[in-house]
Amino acid sequence: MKKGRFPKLPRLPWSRRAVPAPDRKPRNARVPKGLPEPSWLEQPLRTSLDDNLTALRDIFKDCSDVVYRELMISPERKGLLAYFEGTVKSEDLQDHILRPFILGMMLKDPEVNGKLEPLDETRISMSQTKTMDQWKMVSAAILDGNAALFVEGTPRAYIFSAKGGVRRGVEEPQTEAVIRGPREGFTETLRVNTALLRFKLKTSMLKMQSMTIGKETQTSVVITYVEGIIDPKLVEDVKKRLSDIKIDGVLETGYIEELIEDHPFSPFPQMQYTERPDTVTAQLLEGRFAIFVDGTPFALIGPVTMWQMMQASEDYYERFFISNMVRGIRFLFLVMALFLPALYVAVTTYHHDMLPTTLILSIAAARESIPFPALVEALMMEISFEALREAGIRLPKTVGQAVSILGALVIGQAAVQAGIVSAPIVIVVSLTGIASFTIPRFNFAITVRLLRFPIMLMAGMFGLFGIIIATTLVATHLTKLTSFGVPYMSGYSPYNHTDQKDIIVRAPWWKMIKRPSWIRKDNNKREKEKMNGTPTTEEGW
Amino acid sequence: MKPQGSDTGKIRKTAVLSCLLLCSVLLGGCWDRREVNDVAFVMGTGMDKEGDQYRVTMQIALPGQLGASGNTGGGGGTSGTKSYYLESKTGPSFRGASAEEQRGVSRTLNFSHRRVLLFGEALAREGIGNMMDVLARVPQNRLSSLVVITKGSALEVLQADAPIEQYPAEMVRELNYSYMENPRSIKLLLNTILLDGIDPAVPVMSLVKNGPASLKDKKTNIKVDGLAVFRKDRVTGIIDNHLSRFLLLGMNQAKNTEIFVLPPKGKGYISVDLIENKVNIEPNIRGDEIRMTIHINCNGNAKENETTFDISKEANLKWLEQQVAEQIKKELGEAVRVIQQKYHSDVLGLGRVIITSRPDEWKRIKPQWDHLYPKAEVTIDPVVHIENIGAITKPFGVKKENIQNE
Repeated sequence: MKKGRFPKLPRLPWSRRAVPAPDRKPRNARVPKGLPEPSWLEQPLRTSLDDNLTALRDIFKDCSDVVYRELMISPERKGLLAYFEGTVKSEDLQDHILRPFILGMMLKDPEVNGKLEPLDETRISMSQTKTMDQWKMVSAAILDGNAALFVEGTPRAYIFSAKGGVRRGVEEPQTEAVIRGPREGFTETLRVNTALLRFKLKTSMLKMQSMTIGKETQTSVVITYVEGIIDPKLVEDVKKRLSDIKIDGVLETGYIEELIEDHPFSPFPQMQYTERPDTVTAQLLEGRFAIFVDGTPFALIGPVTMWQMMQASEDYYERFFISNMVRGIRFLFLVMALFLPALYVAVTTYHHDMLPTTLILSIAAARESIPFPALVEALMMEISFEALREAGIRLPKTVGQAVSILGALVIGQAAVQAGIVSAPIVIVVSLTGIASFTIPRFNFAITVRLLRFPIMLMAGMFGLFGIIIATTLVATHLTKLTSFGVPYMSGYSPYNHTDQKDIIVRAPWWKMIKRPSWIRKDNNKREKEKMNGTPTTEEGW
Repeated sequence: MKPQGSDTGKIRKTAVLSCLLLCSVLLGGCWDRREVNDVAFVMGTGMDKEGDQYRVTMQIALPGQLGASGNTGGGGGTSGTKSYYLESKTGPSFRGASAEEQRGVSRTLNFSHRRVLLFGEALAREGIGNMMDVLARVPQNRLSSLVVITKGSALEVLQADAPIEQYPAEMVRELNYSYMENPRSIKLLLNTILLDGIDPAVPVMSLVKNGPASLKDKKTNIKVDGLAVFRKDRVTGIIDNHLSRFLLLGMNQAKNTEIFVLPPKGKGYISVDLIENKVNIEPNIRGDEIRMTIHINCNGNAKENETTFDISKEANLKWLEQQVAEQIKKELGEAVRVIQQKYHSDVLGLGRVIITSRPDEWKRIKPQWDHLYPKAEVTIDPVVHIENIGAITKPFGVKKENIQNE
């Protein structure tokens, strides 16, 4: 049976799509059968330490990385510390749990000594402690990288947050390098990422709502937004979509993106991902939300528009003259990335009269002995280029050079010299390749690269007419597309005059007083009064 | 487990249907696909009359001979060193001859890059209006192609070596641009033919050698050789190179007109290059007596002074300007007389002037215009201004004492 569609969720009120019929069962409603539920997990903790140990051994059967450390809490009372090796900071456990108990620091206190409750959170020198009495919670806490202390005669476990283990530190983002701008990037640790965001947005309005997704992975997911800027209905909608997810594991934001987007069958990305805390901050300030997933350095941002896909963080860090020029080039090359091979095919197979005489003669001279039609030639070269790019990504750096030499020499030069492909198509393919790399968002660039092929086929079949048909189809789709109810082409369709300041051009900061209108109609001023830096004095220079 | 309602079936049906529709798109695709290497680009066409048949000569580009860089794959079966070849056939009509040519060329002839049309003198004297039809009817034929009359047959001129350009046709085109302000394209030519009160004039090209017989590297070349003047759509005469320069001045089409003036004393010439001209024709009609005054305002530069005459003096310069004006008056007067009386061709558009400035008079004159035109009295009133006398003021190779100062 075909894969079902993603459950359609109730739409935001301004969305143009109708609310779907509620009788559909969501895709993830299936409960996996055949997995025996461990009975211990349904039960509370026992008073006897031995029973608890048995329970632990049962729950974590065949888990060689679990550690059970027995210790004496008081002369009469035994304790048991359980944790996963590597996920906890063993120094913390030694300093704050093992040493104080074993050296008997606690025993000297007459008030504590001999009581049933020898442990009190106030007396443990660790920053985060919790008490739990259900096996389900306890095992989840241990799995999450905490240490649990069981005490003889107490039906409770004391959970110490000694999360540690080897994790990557904050480094410069690999995929979004900038010349000017912050160089820190997110890491795989969720709390590091949220902290990086906190450093930037020092306001209590920055909210971070946590939830757990993934039946087996139990991945922490945090949805973050700035209250007062974001539309509250949007937050509700996203939280509903997230809580509807039923999946065994979430390893990357991509899982979530695919499960909550509006149009699963559209080639266009409807969420943005980034490694940069500053990008997330900027988007939150424009009224968007971000989703962090533990274990990945990428944050998901939504809702997005097409223009956002063409913007880089540096657009806002450089002076606006430079940003505008760069943006102009980017849009020019976006058009080239989509249409250049198609135009070449159309012109050389149908519209010989559209080029200047000398140019068509040069092309004719180059194509004189080429055995393939222009369409086949273009497809061959484009596909080889895509393969080359794909090969280059995964290769170790040392082998990567070999690939580029092979690609440049074999595909570039030798193929032309052997008369298999013509020189103009090599130029066209290289230009298209460069053009697709100028698009700042990788997922959008891939979409553009993908769409190039159908447009090329249409050009090969119908010439310029085919290109126009294909363009019309893409444009129709784009105007219909939404991301969390926000039209993908917002700013142009529906048109808004003030939004033009940050679509194709980037107005100077002192002119961009309002936030994008598609996020929220009310409360969209960045500053109540004139922004700082507005040239006010007469003798401005 | 999954909802299996009619909804899924409908989606599946739509998907299958759209797949079928997409397949039908493939069936119709590429029906008029024509690769660049299936096309023969015609660069120029020459037309001659042979008895009652038309001879059409086409200059077809051989891109294989252009020597694309890195293209060692071979020249696609073409041979020789020239980057073009000529294909000449006869037929009952222009199109008929073209169709005949297509039978002898394995690639589809493409006329969209044809830039020049050459008409043999003999054909042009019989009239070219009728055969222009195909040029406007078929979109591939560009109305911006330039029209040229050749001395002798067009075939001859297209055969030139013209080594300076890739194709002789290209050379004809470039010569056209350097000869006139607005080269006569098909559109312009037909406009002029169809308009009342003006006749077309088209450059004449002929085949020449690149030097005297003693020159070792012998090549044939193309040269502008005067101006063919029309009466309606027939060529009635050819103005020679010398007079045509002044005629172009009167038509406000001159690009660079060099005028040579003798000094008051001594030998040698002073050469003045007129670079900017403004022509204004003023009609004066009294009954059947038509007087026309051609006001010409010229700006020029002194280009050469082989004499001992000092043109840096204000008075001398004034004298020189006057001499140039005199010469324009004399030579243009001669040219106007020739076209008025010998060729009955109104290339200056004197009739047009009356139409635009005195439409009421034109209504009266129109029936007898053919009769009145040769009798119209044309006065030429040139004003010459020399703007620039060059980097040096006095004759370069003459001793100071020998310079005339009058």
